[in-house]
Amino acid sequence: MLLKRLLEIFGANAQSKTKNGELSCKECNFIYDNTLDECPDCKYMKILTDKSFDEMCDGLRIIRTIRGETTINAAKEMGLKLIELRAEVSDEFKVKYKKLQHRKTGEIITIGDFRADHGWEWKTLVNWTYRNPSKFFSPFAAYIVPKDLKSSERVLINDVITNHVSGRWNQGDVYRLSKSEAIWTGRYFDIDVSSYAIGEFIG
Amino acid sequence: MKIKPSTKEIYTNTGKFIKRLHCPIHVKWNAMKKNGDRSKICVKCNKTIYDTANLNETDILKLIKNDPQACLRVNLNQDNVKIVH
Repeated sequence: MLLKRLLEIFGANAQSKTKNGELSCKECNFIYDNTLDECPDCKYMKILTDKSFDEMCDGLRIIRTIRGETTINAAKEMGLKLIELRAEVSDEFKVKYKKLQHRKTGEIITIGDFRADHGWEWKTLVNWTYRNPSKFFSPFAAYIVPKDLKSSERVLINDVITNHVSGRWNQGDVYRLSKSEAIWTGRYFDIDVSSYAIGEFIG
Repeated sequence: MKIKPSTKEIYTNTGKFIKRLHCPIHVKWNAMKKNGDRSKICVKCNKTIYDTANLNETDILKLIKNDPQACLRVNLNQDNVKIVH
């Protein structure tokens, strides 16, 4: 059943609109918010078999994060070692954006800085809006722990589950740490917030 | 100059990619040795870190063209940087 499901989702991620304007995934029938680019259920199912996660990044092993009951159950069925955590929503975080479209070329861009507002040749599609980056489609999330991971090994987590402030900006934005280096203690990942903190970048 | 905080990539105002900022050493700017007005020296690796607040785009592009591994510092609150997503 799991294999069938995995084979199904590698096709085009088709969708149809529900009466409420939400999207219904044609592959798995999951109904999701129309602000998302693709069905989140299928997106995380793909992570289970994504070989690119075995690659190293900046010399560190990448830890896969999965979200949603379907994917977590499938991972358990596959015998993967998981650290399950609850994805909490925190009102502390807010990130602003504005969507603009070029009047001649039709190009659509997203800006996040009041100073980056463009001239008359760009029309506003979505005016300044704040979104909460700690809101995910499901409260269920888990890290996949490689079975050979050694205690005190430094790793890279591409999608951090717990909430950490990665930076505050003087335009009001409070960023959530989405990607971070961490140290595997043998029981949990000790997140190194400073590794990907926002505010000052050096490199 | 533009920066994407999620990827730490910096671009020119016209969208030309300059560099992805990454440092595995994690030394804070305040902990580095002074080296004039435009740069500091990393106390761990001894490399020069150029402060982009005091450089224009042409200077930064020239710097990276000559040495693609040159280290830069970008602060979100500096006047010559804009955030994009």
